[in-house]
Amino acid sequence: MSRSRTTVLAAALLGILLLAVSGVGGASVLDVYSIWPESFCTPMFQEFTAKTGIKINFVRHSSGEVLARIIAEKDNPRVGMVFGGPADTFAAAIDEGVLEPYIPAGVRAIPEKYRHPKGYYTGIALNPIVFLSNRSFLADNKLKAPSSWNDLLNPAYRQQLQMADARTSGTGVNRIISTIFAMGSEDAAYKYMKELDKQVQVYTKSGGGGTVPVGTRQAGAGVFFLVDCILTQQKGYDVAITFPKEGSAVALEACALIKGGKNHDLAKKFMDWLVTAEAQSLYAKHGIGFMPTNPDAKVSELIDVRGANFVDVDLQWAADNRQRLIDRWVTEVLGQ
Amino acid sequence: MSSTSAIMRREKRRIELANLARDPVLLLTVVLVWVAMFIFILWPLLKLMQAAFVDKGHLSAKALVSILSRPNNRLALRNSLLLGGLVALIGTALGYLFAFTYTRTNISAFWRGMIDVACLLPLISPPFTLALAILFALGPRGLITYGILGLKNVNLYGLQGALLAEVLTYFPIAYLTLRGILANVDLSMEDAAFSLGASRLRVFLTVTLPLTIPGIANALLVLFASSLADFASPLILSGARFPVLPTQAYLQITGLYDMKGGAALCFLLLVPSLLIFAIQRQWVGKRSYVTISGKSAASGDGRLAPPWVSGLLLALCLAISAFVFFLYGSILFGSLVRAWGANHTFTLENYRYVFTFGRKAIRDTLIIALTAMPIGGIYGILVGYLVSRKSFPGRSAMEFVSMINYSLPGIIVGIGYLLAFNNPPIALAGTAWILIAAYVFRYSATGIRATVATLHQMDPAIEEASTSLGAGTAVTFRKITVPLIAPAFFAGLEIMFIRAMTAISATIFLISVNWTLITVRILEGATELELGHAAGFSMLVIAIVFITMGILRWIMRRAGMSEYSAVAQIR
Repeated sequence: MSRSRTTVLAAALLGILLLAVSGVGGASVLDVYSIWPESFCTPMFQEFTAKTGIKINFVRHSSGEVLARIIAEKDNPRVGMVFGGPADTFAAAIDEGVLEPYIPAGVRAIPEKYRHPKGYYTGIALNPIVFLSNRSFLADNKLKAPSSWNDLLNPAYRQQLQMADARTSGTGVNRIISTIFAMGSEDAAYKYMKELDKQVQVYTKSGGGGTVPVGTRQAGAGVFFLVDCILTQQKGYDVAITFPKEGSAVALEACALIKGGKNHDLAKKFMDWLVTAEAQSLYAKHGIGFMPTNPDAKVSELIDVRGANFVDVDLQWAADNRQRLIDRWVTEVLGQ
Repeated sequence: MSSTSAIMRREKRRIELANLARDPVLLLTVVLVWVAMFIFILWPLLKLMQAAFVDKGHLSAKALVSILSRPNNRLALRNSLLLGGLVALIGTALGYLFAFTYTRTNISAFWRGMIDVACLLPLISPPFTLALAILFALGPRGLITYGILGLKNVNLYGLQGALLAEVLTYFPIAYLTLRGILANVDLSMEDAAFSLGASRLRVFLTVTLPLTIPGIANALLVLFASSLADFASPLILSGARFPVLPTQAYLQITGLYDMKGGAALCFLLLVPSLLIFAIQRQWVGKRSYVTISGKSAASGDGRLAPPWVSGLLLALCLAISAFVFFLYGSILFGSLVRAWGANHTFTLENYRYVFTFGRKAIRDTLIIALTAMPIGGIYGILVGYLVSRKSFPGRSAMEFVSMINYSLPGIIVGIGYLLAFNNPPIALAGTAWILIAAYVFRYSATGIRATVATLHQMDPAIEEASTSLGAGTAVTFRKITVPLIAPAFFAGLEIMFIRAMTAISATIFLISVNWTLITVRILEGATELELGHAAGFSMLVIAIVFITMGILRWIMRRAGMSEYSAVAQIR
């Protein structure tokens, strides 16, 4: 008796599991690849769900991984849209034919340079490349926070820098683009990066991966996106955020529809909302260190960019050269 | 001569075929198992080879040549072999130290328990945890290196970091392998040596050590293969100047969108892995049942080690165990403070996060693990039973194939699955089934081996009696075989669950918006800014695994089954 009861129980349990495994999502769920980390995208998704009732299912990958995935899934797309991530990633995706144009209602609020003319992607935030340094490291080495790319070549920084691996991270690519702009030519930039390589402790998989090590003084300094640095500051690490005087790239954070993806009607509603001043003012509310692309949106008080020399990236050039720049970085800088 | 053996072979084959024809249940099962194995083991591997070696419909080694032409990749190959070799040597030495102290010194049960727990923790904890803890203890600003020793500019990234993390992660496997062997050494041999007047050291060197050499060889091979496959520790601790193959393959695919190059790198990894697998089967496999019979050492037999040696060995083990405990303690600490390394105010915020934003990952992981568990368990005993009890054509091929996914590095299996199941006819990508299949066909190896080992010790006459009384294959299997191999079944379940909770390399490419895993969240936390979350998730996984193991063992005890040391099979 008890034996058969156990069998029934086990069978029922297995049945429930099988049901759960093959369960399908409801109709009003939007599937998204997010390049923004969890702590940035979740509040935005929740605000949108609260407003519209549309649920968002997401998985987070770094920009290189997302690009690799949507290309691999070209014939069988799994999600409706890509959320966040530097626009040069999207530009590369256009060339692969995996994006679908959409011009959000009310997009005119966004300056033209922050969106694709045909609507392949729309910029929703700005994110400059900056320096992050640990204050106690600076004090111990009697240094001022770096204000020039060449400051990082100081022997005090030997094996003390962390920054992103250009293969997996848009931060890394934008760092390369920044140095090309700052050094005046590509060859000079690669010569510089080869020098810089000697100072690097580790190249991290994701763009912000090195910020906490800088915070804990495992590393002295690094080159990151502003948004990751502000998060580090907010967590209570004693760090300084400074800007290279020769200039650094400002990445455009964008979103886009995936060609042939699911639930585009929901994705379009989401994109319509994302370009509004209302949505972009939420960055400040949730302590997300992005600068809005909508000029009417509120800018977080955490962001202080006085004295910065930011350069808007030529996205078409970045897209055309992205792969080549990474390859060159791998062979010339990492190559040994 | 050869024609006679050919005739005999043909005759054997005829009998086997006749067997199959007489027994439709057996025939059906064999066919189904082969179909499953083809789809989930061979097909992905073929797709991987196709990606690496077929270019526009032609066979071509271009991808491999281009990968090898990059100095960084050649370095990665060399580094992987170097790291594997060192991990194998040091890990096996440590394992031997622990196993010898456990079995052959007269230390108290309490210390034995301590050693056991210190060795269990690395086996059941998720990837990245030890690597992260090591970074916080021994990194440039680590608690030990900087906080206590005051060292400046310590460089942990590179060989030293990855080596330390892998040795601590994998030495328990060597310990469990060798403990079994050392406990089974025939004591009468040592007695004979002693009575001939040999000193303790001489007895150890000339009797005990040689008797354990098969175990040592096995441990070396397993550790080498484990290190070769390891993805998590190098990703955190290798740094820029010490690339290894699994991380290079991962970066090649995710960073350079170069599936061909990634597949070619996987091929580089595949060759040494298969070699080890072959050596293990051919050489060690046949020698490891040396002294099953005879008087074996009861744990705590101290004849080989005088008290001062016991004390010394125990002190060494405890020092290493203390370090392991310290590392896990620091992860617990990291999960309970605001900002690990900077702001050490107590908080439950990380756990609140784990149980709200991590709820989906926890639910998905549990559903997948609990589904894979019974499927893998049943598949395991089925294959184990078929290959050790039934004779049919292709039996030993089946045994070989059943072990392939297990002996290959996870990253290869993961990429193979991605290539094979992304598009129709079998578009499993994006569903839970691709993850479940990855676990079932990779980690059922333990269940298969445990079943084979159990059946080897069992007289087939019991089953034959059932068959001759008129029961068919199905009835005999259910009524006779199943109760006898239940402990092996539970061992299979246990490993299936532990691995489903902790695996990363095979599954990192297989997660989707609908199905994500706790380990992937740990990876996110570890590579992003959220170390507190990573620590919280890690603690949760360890707790879930401990509880589940407890429940399984409780069921086994209640059912009066003997415990099969499953954890020994973890890799």
